[in-house]
Amino acid sequence: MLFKLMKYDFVYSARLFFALGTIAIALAFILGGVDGLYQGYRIMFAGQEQSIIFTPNSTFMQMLSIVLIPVGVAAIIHIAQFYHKSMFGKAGHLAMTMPVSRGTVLLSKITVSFAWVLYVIAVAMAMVAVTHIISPYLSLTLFFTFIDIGTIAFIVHTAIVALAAIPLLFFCITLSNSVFIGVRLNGIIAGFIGFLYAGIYAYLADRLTMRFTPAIDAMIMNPGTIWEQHTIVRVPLMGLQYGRIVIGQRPWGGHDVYIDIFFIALTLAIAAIAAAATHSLLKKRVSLQ
Amino acid sequence: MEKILQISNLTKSYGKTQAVRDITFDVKKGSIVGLLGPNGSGKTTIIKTIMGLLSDYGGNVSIKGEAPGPIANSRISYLPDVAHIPTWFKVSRAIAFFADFYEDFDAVRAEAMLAAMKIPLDKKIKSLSRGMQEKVQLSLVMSRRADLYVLDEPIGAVDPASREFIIDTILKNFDGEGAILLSTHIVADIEPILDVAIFLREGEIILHDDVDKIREEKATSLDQLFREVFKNVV
Repeated sequence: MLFKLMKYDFVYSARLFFALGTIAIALAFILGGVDGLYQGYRIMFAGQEQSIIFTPNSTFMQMLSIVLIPVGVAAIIHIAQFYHKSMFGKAGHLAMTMPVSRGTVLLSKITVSFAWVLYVIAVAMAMVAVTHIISPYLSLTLFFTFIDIGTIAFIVHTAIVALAAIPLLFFCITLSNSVFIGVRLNGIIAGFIGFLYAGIYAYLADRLTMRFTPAIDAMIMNPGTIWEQHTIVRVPLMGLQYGRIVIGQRPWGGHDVYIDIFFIALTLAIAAIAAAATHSLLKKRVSLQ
Repeated sequence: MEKILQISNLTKSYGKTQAVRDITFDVKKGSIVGLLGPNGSGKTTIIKTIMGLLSDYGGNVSIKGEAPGPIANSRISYLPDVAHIPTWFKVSRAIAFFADFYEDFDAVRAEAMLAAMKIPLDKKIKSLSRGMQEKVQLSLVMSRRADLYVLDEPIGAVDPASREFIIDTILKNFDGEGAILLSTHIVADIEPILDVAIFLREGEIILHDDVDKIREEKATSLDQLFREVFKNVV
């Protein structure tokens, strides 16, 4: 039954995500063209000796981030709408009355949403690749030089964070459709709980990111590497300066493995708790009005 | 006669508003039971409780010994008072959906019913008129071989000609092996098919009896009695 549910959930949500992907790639084509024009003007005005630019410039980065951020936000809104409409909208009368447990229905929604997060990451990468192909001053070879440890760490980190964030998002939506002592909670209370959680989790996620880059480097990319004390690492997000990551007080070593495992386990535990709480609400507190 | 549905002392509130109060009745195999009352009398609350769409209620609801949930849902064919089948589905996909999830669904029967209504299978549901959409929903629901059919306002939003068709469809596909519980505030059209009538007012049962007995004792039709009882409410 789970796979049948997933099939219909994919079909249900696919149109919006494919439309989002198409728009994003189309914007990448425009962005690549704009970058070509911009770089051309710079060459024209800067003079031949300063004109050869091999790396994306800061204006390009800003433009790219202006496009990438709404793609991410739109994806989150789509996932929230997909869950809300299919569970608590008119279609909820179908989803909630099928001869399938609410846990299976929830698992299907979480799995499908997580798959869409991976899809959006792939779209974001494809966007950057397209801009590099279109702009005459960038190249695909240059794009691949950005696929480094920081990029991989960012993708793995995003996936792990999404794994916890999706059940939490669903928990808040379910909470706002639940009834306690005959009173239906409203979205403000659910939103506050989500906000509170997000604040705590943002801190943990930040710590997780801090640990993740050296962890991946030491475990996969360059086994045996010891990261130096107070090393400042710039994580290039497919060309963008994603942020500064300050590695902890000690070089990455045996002890830190446990800290990394702890953060990953904590994230997965939060995901499991959020999913279990959502399941409990769906079983005992739901009120489809 | 085997009891398909048993409800005892059902109470449900929305905040300080009591939607239904101390509701007790059962539905026996082979019978068609009507939940009759004006808007806001508690019909849909009772039905949603049976379907597990509402929690935090008092009393007991049992569908062949099962509390509302997935097992009970496998025995109930439910037609809500809203368009619950995704409207971007093609009619053929809606049939495939029901065939995927309901073991007792008869796809051949559904296709035959839709063909009789001249509803093309390759059309998206949203491209059909509202009346047609309701017919598609009813056809799918009545194509199951369920123990209990729960129909919430099946004729509430359609024109008189369509009402006749809907009632005809319900009767043609009801073989007496299960039971039907339907709610409505339009009694005249539904009266000929009812075995048992339950009048609801402000969340309470004010009359519950066999339709023939009501007609005999009150010396009037069910529709006329309904109009008298709810003359200032409906």
